[in-house]
Amino acid sequence: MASSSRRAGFGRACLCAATIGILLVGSSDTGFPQDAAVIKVGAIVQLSGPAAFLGPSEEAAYRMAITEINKKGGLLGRQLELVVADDATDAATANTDAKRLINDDEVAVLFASSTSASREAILPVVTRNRKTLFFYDAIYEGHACDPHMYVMGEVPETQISPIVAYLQETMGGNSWYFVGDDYNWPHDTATIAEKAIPAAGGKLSGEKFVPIGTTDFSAILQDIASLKPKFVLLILLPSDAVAFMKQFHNQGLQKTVQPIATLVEQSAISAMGPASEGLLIPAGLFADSKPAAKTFEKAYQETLGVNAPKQNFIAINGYDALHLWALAVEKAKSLDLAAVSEALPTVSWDGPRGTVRYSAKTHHATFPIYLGRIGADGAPEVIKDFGPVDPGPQCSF
Amino acid sequence: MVLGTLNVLSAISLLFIAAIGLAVIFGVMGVVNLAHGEFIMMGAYASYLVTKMGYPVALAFIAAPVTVGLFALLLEPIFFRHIYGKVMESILATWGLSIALRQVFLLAFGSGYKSVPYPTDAAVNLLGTTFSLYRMLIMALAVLVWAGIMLVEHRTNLGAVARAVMNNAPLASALGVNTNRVYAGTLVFGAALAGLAGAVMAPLTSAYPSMGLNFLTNSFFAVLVGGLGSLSGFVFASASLGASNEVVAILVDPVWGSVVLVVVALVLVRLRRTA
Repeated sequence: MASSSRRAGFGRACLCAATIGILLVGSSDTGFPQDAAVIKVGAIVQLSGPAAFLGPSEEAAYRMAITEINKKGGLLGRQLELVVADDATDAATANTDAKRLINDDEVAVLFASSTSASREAILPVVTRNRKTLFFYDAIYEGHACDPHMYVMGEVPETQISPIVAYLQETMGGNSWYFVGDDYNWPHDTATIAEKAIPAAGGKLSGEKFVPIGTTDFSAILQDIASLKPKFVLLILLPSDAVAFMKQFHNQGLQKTVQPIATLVEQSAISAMGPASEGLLIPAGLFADSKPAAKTFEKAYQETLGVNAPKQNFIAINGYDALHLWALAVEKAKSLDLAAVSEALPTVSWDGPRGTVRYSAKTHHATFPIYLGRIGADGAPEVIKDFGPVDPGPQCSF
Repeated sequence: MVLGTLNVLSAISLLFIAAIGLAVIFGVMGVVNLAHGEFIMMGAYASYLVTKMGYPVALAFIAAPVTVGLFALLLEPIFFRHIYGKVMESILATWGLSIALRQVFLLAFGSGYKSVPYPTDAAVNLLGTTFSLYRMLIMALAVLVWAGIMLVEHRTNLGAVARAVMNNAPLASALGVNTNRVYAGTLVFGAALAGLAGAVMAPLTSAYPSMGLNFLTNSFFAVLVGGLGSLSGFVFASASLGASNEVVAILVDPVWGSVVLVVVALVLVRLRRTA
């Protein structure tokens, strides 16, 4: 862990040095023309702040895609160069990052793996500038729309709706309980789930929200013990999900109640220890879930090293989005905004999750969703493949 | 009802354990230690290291306070000694220390969560309700810590000297009490209590660099309400804030519970001022 952080730090230092170098070269009038052959790709990721547990994987996802494209000769005969910015899980920083990447670095395209707050802070920069497309790559609450933006990530419609009927059918029972952190993603996810549950013949026993950073879940666990739902849906940030699961297990509730988590990755699963056994996770990517995922894992380790930050279903969105953009550029034979935007919905990419494509109508991506079950060894096993799940009418363009 | 009562008692105990280190340091030295949450975080990491090295998790309840206490002892001459009795300076300086500690742990251990197992997964049966044995042990520990501090404060020479320094440091100093040594001792003791809180919390939450912030706010309110240098006042503060938070969390939801905690704290501070 320590060595990988140091490596990330070193990488960032190199990046800074490179950026300074470019700035120096770019600003000097004495010659050294800027390397026009390079296409700059901007990526805003969360290397520090509360979501820092995701940042290294997010950065690595973009780096992996860029390396693969460059190995095949680049794009339009030019090599790609990744310019990474850290938004520190902070909207104001994300806004500054976007301005710097677009105005100073003059990136050809902007990607962001960030919170919704950061996305909303980046969007005005993109729309005012009108030179780059913006790809938002993260699990989120859905229904964010902008003509310049394409979105890839699990939304409540793809993550919750498919599993409700399946779980009620295979596991019996139809009563549900939601526990969520008190901000917009959990609230919006709960709103979608509230509709999906009666539609599938289920009923909602209870729904409670907690402040972010809750350390004692005793009140919620007491509520669950008295309402006795069959399923409990966790719409919690990973740190809170870990605390919830550890206390849930310590109270022995896992014997009667089936927990389902929407936002936990490997680090959170291993932190739960024995409490993670039996936890269900609906998501797009599980290591070793499919031959494609295995092939990717092998190539990933060969390219970025065995100690590279582990990929997860959240970060992988960036990898697939960058490849789709590259395919659209190839097809449009230009970096022109309108041409790429037109080509984008017509291309599809077979990534580690399966086939991924953007919709012209909604600007949201369709990709396969799986249901993973955490085994006694802490490793997820795919118990159901829902195939490509359409996020539905997220937007209308 | 039984379960509700037990949950309220466990919430009070958790708040008491989380905040007692902050109360001791503030009470004796007038230092508002905003790095208190990071002391708890260090205690949690100490627990993680103890269990990772294969020792039983029970040992963490000794190792964590010792580690954090030693850390405070090392920092005393270069850091804390310069901010004794300076409330505003101590807020700024310890806030800086807390940021630095979070980053150091982020770099050293990574941003992932570190699991610490429960000392026991057993449940006890009380009046027909099963309840986590670990939470029962936390309540017992809270009572033990309270009784221990009471004994030291009122029945030992050490406690008498500490109370003398607390009430009038210049006079105590004039009477030959080495106030700096009393301050250093109290600092180490308060830090060790924060480390113990880390060991208590680690099985419930896991250890991660930013975890301390989750404990700081409520602890801070408990100390504000409890007032300067009164253990019984602090016990009352923990009980009223912990209970109102948990009761509302059970009856309404935890979001309102956290709102009510702040409201009750404001009302109590106001009442204390007028009284």
